[in-house]
Amino acid sequence: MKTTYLYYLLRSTYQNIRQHLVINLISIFTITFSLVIFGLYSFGYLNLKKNLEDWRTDFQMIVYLEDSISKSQLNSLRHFCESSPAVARVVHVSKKQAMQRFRKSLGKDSSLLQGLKKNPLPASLELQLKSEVQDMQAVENLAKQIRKQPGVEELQYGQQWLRHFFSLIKFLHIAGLGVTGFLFFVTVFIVSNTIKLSFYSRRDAIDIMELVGATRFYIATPYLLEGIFQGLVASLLSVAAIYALYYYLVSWLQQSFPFLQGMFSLAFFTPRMLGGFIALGVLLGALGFLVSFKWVRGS
Amino acid sequence: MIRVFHLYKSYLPTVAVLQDVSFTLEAGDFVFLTGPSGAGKTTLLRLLFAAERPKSGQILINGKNITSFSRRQIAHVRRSIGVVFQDFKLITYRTVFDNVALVLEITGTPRNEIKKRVWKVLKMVGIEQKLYRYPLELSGGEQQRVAIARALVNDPQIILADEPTGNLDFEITTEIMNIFNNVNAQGTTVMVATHNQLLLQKFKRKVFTLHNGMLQEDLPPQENQ
Repeated sequence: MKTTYLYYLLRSTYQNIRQHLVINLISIFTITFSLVIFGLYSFGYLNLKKNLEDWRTDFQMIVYLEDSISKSQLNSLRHFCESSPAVARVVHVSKKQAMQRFRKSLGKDSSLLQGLKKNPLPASLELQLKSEVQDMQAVENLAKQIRKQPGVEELQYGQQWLRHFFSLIKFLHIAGLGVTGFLFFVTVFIVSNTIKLSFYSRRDAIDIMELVGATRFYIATPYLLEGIFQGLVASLLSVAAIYALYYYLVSWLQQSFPFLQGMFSLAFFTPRMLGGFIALGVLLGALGFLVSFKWVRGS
Repeated sequence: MIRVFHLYKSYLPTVAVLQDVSFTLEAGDFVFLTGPSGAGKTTLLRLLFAAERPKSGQILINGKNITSFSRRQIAHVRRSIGVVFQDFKLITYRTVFDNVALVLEITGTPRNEIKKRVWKVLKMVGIEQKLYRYPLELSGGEQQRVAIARALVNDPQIILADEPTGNLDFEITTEIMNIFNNVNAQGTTVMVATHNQLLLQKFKRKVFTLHNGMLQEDLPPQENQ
């Protein structure tokens, strides 16, 4: 493309924005508002998901060992667990360590244990699952295979709790996708309607440009650039607004509910997510333009 | 230059706007297109600059049949045709300069060249003093001069004007017609649609009359006598 031609397209974009400043501000406000709603939902969804997943990392599968387990059987069982793709970490807790923990957990009452002649607690392997494990079936398969190994007395992993947890995660995924998709289309609808209004006043100009021999590319490009500009400004404004709300919410939570610290954490979008969010704003502006332009030319 | 063969156009199946219209205009011709309101003058002009497609028939501009042209080809054909409308069709948020310059900008003409050519054409139509005014700050006659300047700036081979003096008083009408005459004298083909009989009498040119969608070709009045 010739530099002169590019200059005319950019100049035309600038003229359009300057001459329709109020309409541009209305469009930017609408896109910002839509993006803030969308961003707040995403913020809530991502934080809920993250906190749930953090809780899951505390989850353990405990393999209780028979007292008679030989050293080679223990090594082989440990190796079996470590080589499983679902397991992140394996910790061996000997009978002695189990007793020490129990004693510690009893605190002042630990003297009750002094009468014991023999340590009744079993040794165990504590398995931590990988965060990629997303369904109950994988956990149950692992438990089934471990049970078959020699030297295993019992296995505990809070089946009931885990089943509910996975159902909740699955629901969040589906609901998240559904609501995200819905919000996206609603936003495109609102934005394209706002841009449509701005196009309405420029239909004559578009007709005139066609009459004097402008190609569709020449006519459409400044409007597309204008849509991208609106999307970019709106996404930057919405990021600032969401950050301000986030900052306020974190301060309020810290002051009003100090006991929540450590149990629940709120994280702002990562730089990558922010990039995606700004790209979404630009995409919205461009899509809103495309829908409106098609509408204007089709009518 | 312009050859039209057996042109038919209708908006409703039962109402024909143009019926079997055929004519030829050579380079340097000047013709008035006349007829009562609703006779199809505007429709014929719109077909000539491909704003509409005919039901059947052919329109050849410089030997090329524009009725089957793509949108992109139509855009290029329009650059060789200057069109002037009764309602001026100026972009209200662009200055006089920018309205006229638009025609050259779309072809990628360098900025310096545009400045020279726009100034020259605005001077030719007598509106160079209002270069940076907006259309709504001008009178009707001035706006029409700007529209004519826009039609002429690209040195088109053909000028089509649809009731260009319809909203103007007779003095300004005469000035506008003189501009068309001057352009025509330089070899540009001009077709002016009008129902103003005074114009036909004052400027004795070839006349095409549309009546009930059919075209009748008349010789210039002085040749009739």
